[in-house]
Amino acid sequence: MLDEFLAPPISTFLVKGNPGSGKSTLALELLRASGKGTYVSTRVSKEKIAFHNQQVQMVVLEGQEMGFKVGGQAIDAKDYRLATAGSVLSLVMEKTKSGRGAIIILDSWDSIAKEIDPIERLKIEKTLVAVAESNGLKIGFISEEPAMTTTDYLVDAVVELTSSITHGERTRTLEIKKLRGQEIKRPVRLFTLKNGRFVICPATKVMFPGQYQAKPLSRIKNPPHLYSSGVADMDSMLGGGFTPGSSVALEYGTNVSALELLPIDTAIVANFILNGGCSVRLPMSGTPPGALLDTLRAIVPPEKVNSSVRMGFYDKYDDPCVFRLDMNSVENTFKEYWRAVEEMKGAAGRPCLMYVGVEKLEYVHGKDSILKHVVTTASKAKSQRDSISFVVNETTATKHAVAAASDGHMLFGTFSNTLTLQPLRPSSAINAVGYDYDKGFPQVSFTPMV
Amino acid sequence: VTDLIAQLPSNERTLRAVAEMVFDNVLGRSSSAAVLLRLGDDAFSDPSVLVAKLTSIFGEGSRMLVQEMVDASKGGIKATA
Repeated sequence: MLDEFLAPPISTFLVKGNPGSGKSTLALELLRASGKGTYVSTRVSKEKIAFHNQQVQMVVLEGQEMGFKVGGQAIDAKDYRLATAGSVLSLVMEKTKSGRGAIIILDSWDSIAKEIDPIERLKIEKTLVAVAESNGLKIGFISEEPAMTTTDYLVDAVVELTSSITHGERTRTLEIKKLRGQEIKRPVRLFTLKNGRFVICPATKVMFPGQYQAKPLSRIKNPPHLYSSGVADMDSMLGGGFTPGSSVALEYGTNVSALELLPIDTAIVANFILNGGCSVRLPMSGTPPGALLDTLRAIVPPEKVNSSVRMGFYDKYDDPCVFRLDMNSVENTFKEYWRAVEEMKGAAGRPCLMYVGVEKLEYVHGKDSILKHVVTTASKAKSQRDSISFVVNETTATKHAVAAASDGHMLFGTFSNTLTLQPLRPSSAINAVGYDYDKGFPQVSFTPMV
Repeated sequence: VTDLIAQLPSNERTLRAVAEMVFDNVLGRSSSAAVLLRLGDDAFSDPSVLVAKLTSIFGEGSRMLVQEMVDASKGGIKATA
């Protein structure tokens, strides 16, 4: 969470943002983390706040006054809808007796400040800041005023919340605009209000075996008539898993490196081959075969990898899983590809997870003949009930045609070092992608932006 | 600062009137009312009590306020004379 705001050097902070941007949820989250404080509502009744925020319950506090319970912490709550600036200040004065470290949230400060003239407002704000600082209190001003006000200059920290729509889905961002006396390490962060909580999405961390102690992967079994992706959150998003015979265009932005996608790639391939399938791929840009194969061999028995995975490569590469591709002929490249697919599927016809790096094919062979091969590959994979992914990026000339020829379309991006995944077709919420290695293999999680 | 405050007239009503005037000017009317309420009536019995109480509310931030009050008080004394 915003530990910087709870640190001792900060005694006053301002949370700005338009209606619905998550200001009150953040304020409640800070009260929850602090464990003691007062929530002063100047716009909404206590009952409504408790009704609209899943993390808030109404409780009777000492003295029979109704207050909040937030995450097990009893929080004093005041209904100041009809109050004046003077009574807010009197309350703050009163709270100086309740000990250092308590937070007082004024939600919102605007609704009171707008009723007084600018000079009077400045004087009150200066008084509030001086009182908070000398008594070890923290005061959080909540504001819906987008423009710079006197509060911006007086407080120790300013954070602005924004909500925007990308491809029809919401993205929420937090920007730390000011943090007096401290270095701002990640000035912009993604956050979500999932389950009524204010959760900042951490930076996505890519690690390789050696950086974590690799252990055998625990597979997720295939559900009936589907292939599990090996990522529980992705299975839920897909309605249980990949449909046999389905194709998807995986698009990644130019700000995403192929290595950032490697843990999710590894998780999917590893689970697929542990469920008895095989995987054959034409390379995507930026990942040498060893990047995937070495990680796979660290979490799946190497013999299983050697008998189930094949990767094409345009250079000589000494690995039993790698086959050589012809840089001068797209026809030969696909011929080699289908030879590898037949070899892997074998007589039993085991299911195959196919990847075709369309962006790389375009770089090597030019765009003209690529689409024909993409379409024929997709239809052949469909008829064999395999699952195929076409990898494209923002600069791929055939991107739209490839997406149109695929059953699904997903877009990877990064925002302030957090990898995001947005399903464009079928459309659903943007997800922050998280990688966790505590179990000895990359565990992938999706946190939807709501 | 404490020495200067000690030179203020100890007359309670004068001290209160001067304090209110300074609070209104420096803190604004809304803040002034809240501060006076928090100080309580006994704060005006002696300048040193007022200083101690103000410091407990504003800490070091009250230094300028106290200085202004002293200056205003001197003006008040001069006018009376």
